[in-house]
Amino acid sequence: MTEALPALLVFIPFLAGVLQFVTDRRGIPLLPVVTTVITAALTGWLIADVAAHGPVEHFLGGWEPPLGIRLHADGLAVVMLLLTAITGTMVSVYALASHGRHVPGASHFWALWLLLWGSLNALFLSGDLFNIYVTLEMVSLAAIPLVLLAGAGKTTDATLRYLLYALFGSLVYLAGVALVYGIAGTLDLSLAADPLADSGFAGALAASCLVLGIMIKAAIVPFHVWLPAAHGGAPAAASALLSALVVKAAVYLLLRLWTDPLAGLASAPAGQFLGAVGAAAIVYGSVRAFLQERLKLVIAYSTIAQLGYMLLFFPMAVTLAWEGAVYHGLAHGIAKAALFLAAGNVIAYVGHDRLRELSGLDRPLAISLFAFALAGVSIMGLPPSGGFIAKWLLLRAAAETGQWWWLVVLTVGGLLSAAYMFRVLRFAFLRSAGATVDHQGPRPGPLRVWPTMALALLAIALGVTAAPILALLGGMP
Amino acid sequence: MGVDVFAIAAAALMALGFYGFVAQPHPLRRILAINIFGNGVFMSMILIARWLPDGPDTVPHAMVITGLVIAVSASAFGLALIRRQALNRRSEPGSTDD
Amino acid sequence: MMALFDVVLVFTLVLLAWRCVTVTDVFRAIVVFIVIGLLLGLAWARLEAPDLALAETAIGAGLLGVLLLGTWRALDAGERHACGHHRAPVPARWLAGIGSAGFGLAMLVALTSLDGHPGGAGELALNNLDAAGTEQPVTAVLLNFRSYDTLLEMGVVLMALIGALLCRAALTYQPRAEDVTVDTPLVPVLVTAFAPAVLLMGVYLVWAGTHSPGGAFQGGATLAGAGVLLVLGGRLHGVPHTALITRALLILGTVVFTAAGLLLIPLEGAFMAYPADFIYPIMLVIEYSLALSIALSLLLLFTGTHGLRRGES
Repeated sequence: MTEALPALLVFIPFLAGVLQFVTDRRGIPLLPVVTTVITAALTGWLIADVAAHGPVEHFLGGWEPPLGIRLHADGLAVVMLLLTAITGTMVSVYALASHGRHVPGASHFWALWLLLWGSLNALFLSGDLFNIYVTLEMVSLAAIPLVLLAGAGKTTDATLRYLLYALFGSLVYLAGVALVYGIAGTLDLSLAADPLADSGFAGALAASCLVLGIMIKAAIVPFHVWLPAAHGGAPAAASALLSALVVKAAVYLLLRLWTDPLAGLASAPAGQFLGAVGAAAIVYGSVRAFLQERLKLVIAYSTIAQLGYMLLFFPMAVTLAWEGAVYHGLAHGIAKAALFLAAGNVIAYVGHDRLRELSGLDRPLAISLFAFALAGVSIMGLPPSGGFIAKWLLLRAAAETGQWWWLVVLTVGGLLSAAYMFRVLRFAFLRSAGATVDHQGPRPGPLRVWPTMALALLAIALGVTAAPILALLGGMP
Repeated sequence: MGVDVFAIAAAALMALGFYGFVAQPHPLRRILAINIFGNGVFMSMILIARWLPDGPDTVPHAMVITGLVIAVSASAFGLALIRRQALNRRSEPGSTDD
Repeated sequence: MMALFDVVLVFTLVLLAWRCVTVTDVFRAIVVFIVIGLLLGLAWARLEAPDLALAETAIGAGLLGVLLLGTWRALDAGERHACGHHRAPVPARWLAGIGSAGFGLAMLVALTSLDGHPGGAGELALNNLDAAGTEQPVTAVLLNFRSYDTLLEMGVVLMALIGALLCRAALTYQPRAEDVTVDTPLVPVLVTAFAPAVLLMGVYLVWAGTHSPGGAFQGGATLAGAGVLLVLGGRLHGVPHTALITRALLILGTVVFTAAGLLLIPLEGAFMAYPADFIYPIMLVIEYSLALSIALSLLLLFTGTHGLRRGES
């Protein structure tokens, strides 16, 4: 039964999303709730199995590579599945309130979210370069319409720009896949590694295309232009999914390719180059986050900065850096989802997210703001939090490899993120002369508040649960 | 063996698609550019398929069909967004949303 | 002789692609794009890929062309002007020109440096054709060896459709009749003459996919083409609501494909593995249900509506 788990993790949410699209349009979202429970439980089962017995493989159609497609659940894949299941479950609970019965477009939200969940699982489990192209497109095309759900044409421009960049990025990736097939005669990630290692110019071009295409999809500076308006404009539940999972999936892919099929091609200068891009993203994203006037845009620019940390793996390429980068992906995903859901609560209550007009929210939105502050602790990398562990691992990796310049980047990045986080908190807690807050909606109910809080607490708890998760991840392949 | 004349076409289509994406940023033009780039990618796959001595390799052929359907579907979504954009502009003149 | 033909073909393709990305008039760019698609069909037929030639002409040139022209019709004069005159600044264009020329050259060098196939998947696909339940190797890859890709791709088509429908969802906008129909007296006559033939050809192409060029995607696209003709001739109308049968047909392919994959896990031990005795009928059922879903999805992408209704012209 466990061999079938990877296929089930893809197809249960996928099929549920398809059925959600054509069935129930008005009733309570029963199908999504059931699917959330089942998918989360199956993820837990797979993780337990991988932790106990090592990686699980599944040959689709019974055809082994190089002819067939291989699904494989190794340490890296299941850590990403864990992130998806945790964030996804909490967002599902939150969306029961934010995309419940009477909300326009709610049925579409649920259909797209379930399809997105299936697509993300498919991407993390895939062991085939072309199949990864298909799953990348699935992830994009499930995520992009979610931005449109803000409604009334408000986000049309942002959605369109997101779509165009995503489509172009995936075709650049596909050009790399074509070259890899020409070199290796296989699309399997592991089988392609050896032929690629001594493939000369064509291999280098193939690797460049793969990496460039993924960087466009992951909104890595300078390809970040589509991200802020899309992540900042989508409904809160969708923003949480986009920032915590969707762009993360593209960076995950970079880690996966670099350590498996491209391992023989990955040179030190290329690693340093990616690290420099990551450093640029950290500084640029943080400074822009500090300058924003809207809460959700601060969080969106923060995503651009935080993704940069994961790129610091490439110049160092030691196990500590591997653990740090993946743990950062996990910690950032959970904290970022909490931030967006908290921002959603602010918008639901106040009716807007203009920072300068948010004052005295500490009483009506106490729990949401507390969650925001806790998640902020992880984003800033302060102990005890998941963000701290991740940055600590990266710092140790920098010390171990003697690349002291990344210590500087990590320190500056931490200070900058503290600056933009405290700026938001200052506005939110500031009590202006008029003690009452203008608000347009009711106080957010428990279904909105508690998932937010749960994610924030998890972001902190990750500060003490590193050992089992890093054991599950395993060393650098 | 010299340079395959179709390899020139594949490379040129990709290069021109790349150029078009940057040089003409209007969304409709970008959709055209993306599809020209994609056609270059598909052409290179078809060339690679011909290298198999026993007859054309059908694995890249299948990849082209899949890629083509995906590209056209995504383009259709993009075109629907462009129409929506045009409608937004018509209904509230002088205001855009980003 | 053929070599000269190839050179002329490639030269024309490159010239047209250059026109397509540089010309100011967007209408001409679209027309040139469609011609590129048709010529590519020709090129791919020359490159021993008749399936892909069919797919490119039906989907890449035909359907996308119709969609592009439909979008052009929906734009007003100001926007049409903006399509051609909204250009990146000159330094950016120069940089893009240099960068893309370098990229193209690198691609050409890479493609030329690699000749000789490394074997691998392609050889195995040809060798395992007996076990695939079809004589047509492309269909074997799409529906058997790499059927997982094809199934997920159906998800992509569905999600693109959801996205396109959402573009209309929040609107009170109804497609005006003149938006989608063409008002010339010849059209209804042509539709009456051609639509049944095109429909028949679509059905044939799906069936042909098991032994000769054709298949679910080419057949589905041709069926969608017949539908487009019917819409243009006023025999079919897009409507904002959806009937149960429409929704069922939209997901038929995905559901049949997934169900066949999931239900046979206990029997065959792997997702999407089919028992050897029943493989031909299973493939045929999957292929027709995929084709129907694709045809309807593409047609609804064209009308941009949730449903369809028959209507008198």
